[in-house]
Amino acid sequence: MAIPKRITKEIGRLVSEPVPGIEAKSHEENIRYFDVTITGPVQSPFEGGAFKLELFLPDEYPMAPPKVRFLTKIYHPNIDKLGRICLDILKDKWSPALQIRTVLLSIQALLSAPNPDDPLANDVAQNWKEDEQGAIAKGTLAPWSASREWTQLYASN
Amino acid sequence: MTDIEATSSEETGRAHGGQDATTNSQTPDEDLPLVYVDTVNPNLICCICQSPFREPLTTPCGHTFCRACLQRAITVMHACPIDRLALQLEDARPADPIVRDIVNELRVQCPNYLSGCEQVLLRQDVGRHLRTGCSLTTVICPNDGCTERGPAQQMETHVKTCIYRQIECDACHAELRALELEDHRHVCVAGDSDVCCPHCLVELPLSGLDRHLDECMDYPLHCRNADVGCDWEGTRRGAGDHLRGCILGKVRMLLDDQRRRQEELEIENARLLERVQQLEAGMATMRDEMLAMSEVLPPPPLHSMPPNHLPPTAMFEDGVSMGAHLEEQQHRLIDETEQIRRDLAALNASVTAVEMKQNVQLATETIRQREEIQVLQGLYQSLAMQLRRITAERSRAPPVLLPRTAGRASGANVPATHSRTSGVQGMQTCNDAGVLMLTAYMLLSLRVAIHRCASTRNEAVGSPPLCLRVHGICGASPPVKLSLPVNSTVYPVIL
Ligand SMILES: [Zn+2]
Ligand SMILES: [Zn+2]
Ligand SMILES: [Zn+2]
Ligand SMILES: [Zn+2]
Ligand SMILES: [Zn+2]
Ligand SMILES: [Zn+2]
Ligand SMILES: [Zn+2]
Repeated sequence: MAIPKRITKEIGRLVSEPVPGIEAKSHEENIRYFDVTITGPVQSPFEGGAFKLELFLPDEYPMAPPKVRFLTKIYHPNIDKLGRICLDILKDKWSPALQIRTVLLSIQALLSAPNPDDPLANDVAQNWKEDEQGAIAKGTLAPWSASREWTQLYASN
Repeated sequence: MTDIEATSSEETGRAHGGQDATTNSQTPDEDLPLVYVDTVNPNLICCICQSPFREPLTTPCGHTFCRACLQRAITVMHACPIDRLALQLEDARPADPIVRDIVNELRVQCPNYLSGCEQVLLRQDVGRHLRTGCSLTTVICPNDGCTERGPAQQMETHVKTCIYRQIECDACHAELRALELEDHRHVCVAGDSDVCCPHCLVELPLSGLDRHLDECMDYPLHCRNADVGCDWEGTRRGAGDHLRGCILGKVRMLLDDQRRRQEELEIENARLLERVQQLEAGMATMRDEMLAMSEVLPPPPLHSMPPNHLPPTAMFEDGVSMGAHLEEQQHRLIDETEQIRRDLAALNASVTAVEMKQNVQLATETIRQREEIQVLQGLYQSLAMQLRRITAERSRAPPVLLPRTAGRASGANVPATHSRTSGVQGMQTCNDAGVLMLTAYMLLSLRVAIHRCASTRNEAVGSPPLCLRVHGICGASPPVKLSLPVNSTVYPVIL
């Protein structure tokens, strides 16, 4: 199947105008398959980590959303232990007006602002909530101990 | 081709301005590989296909998309792809004419630029360029049944002469394909269409053309004598004059004559050859007959051989005199054969005469011998009787061996012998012993003679039979003169 012009254009733009903290490289043998690295946002428990993801553009793209998954283990209420991401634009809120760039920016934002009210990993969400509440109670900025630990354990060089 | 159609329909839509976009055909932007020469203002880029708008539509919420892009997006989300406000395709309207003009007038490269067309043109002109201007577009002849394909420019001229193109009969106005016109002319319901004789250029109805060509004075002809070498070429008009003066016409007459004569000679030759073969066969038969005769008869007289007799093969050496020679030869052979037949008949007759003479001689001799034998037998019987009587008289008292022997010799077979009386009584006067001896000797000789006579009876006349000498010995008179009783039976004599 021929590669739609849109995909080649997106790839070209990802290279020419890279998004800070996000790196996406398509495979040479399969241009629809991308190796993605997102650096942990500052002032988040993921700061200092480099998280690897895989992104795949299905044949229906851009009418269907890309498929994205974390490869690096991450302690996040909206990401399960298989790396699947709970993000509405990757599911029912997808729009063909969105792009790879916007999807990756959304994921980066999710790392900055986890949403424990819409969890994918229930135990993580529970811990997260308690931790967050504890942190708020302590008046300090969240240590999010487990997330920080996991980041150091799995996402550091 | 579909791409070209799509581009052109878009162009048409623009030209008419404000035409309802929903009635236009749609083509995904990606399918037409347009390369924009200039950098395009991002506001003119569709966020779905990331290319300059094609047939742009604007939603009530103020967002603009390519028509095809929006159509596809709405089927999956029923909302504006940008702000997710509920949206139906019917709600979208063609974008502002200024936007449409701007995107349609963007400069692009000819879609065949990879194949070598370097033309840069306005996007709205792409369709027309591909249809008629681009030297690299391969198009198929649009006429039904034609498989011609080639560059668009070339196709334009092809279509004008294509035999599958639709034309109209100028007589009956029927629609038909160009290739059918020729046949149609002959069946056209409007009757004859006028045609032009290609030679004299006179106009005439098609139905009369064939007849006209047979008499058209401008019809090109070759000389009738072309086969014998005349290379005159001209029209029917000049043919008569030429033929009157054509030298090769006279040559042709000569040649025809020659040919006829040659054919006659060939037939004659074949006939003669057949005759020769018949004669040869006849000669072979005759020769065989003659050979057979020469074995039976004394050699034929030499004068009957032809003086200049030739072996059959030699006769073919001279073809001219062959016929006459053969005729002569044949007559001679027939005469010869007749002569031989006559000779043969004469010889047969003489042989028959000789044979008959011999047969008569033989028969006469046989009869004579038979008579002689009978006489001898009679003589022998009388002698035997005489001997028996003498023996009986001599020994009245002492019987000798004879009766036993006589009984054994004559026995039951000759009972009549004793009763027969012989007239020869003169023998009684013979001296006893001498007579007995003589009689015994004569009996022996006679027996031998009779035996010899019987065995030589059928022999050809030769030396006199032994019995004659026996007669000579015994001194008896010739048998016929003997008065002996005739007895045809020869008895065995035992001594
Ligand atoms: Zn909108
Ligand atoms: Zn578009
Ligand atoms: Zn061209
Ligand atoms: Zn044609
Ligand atoms: Zn007609
Ligand atoms: Zn004519
Ligand atoms: Zn001639």
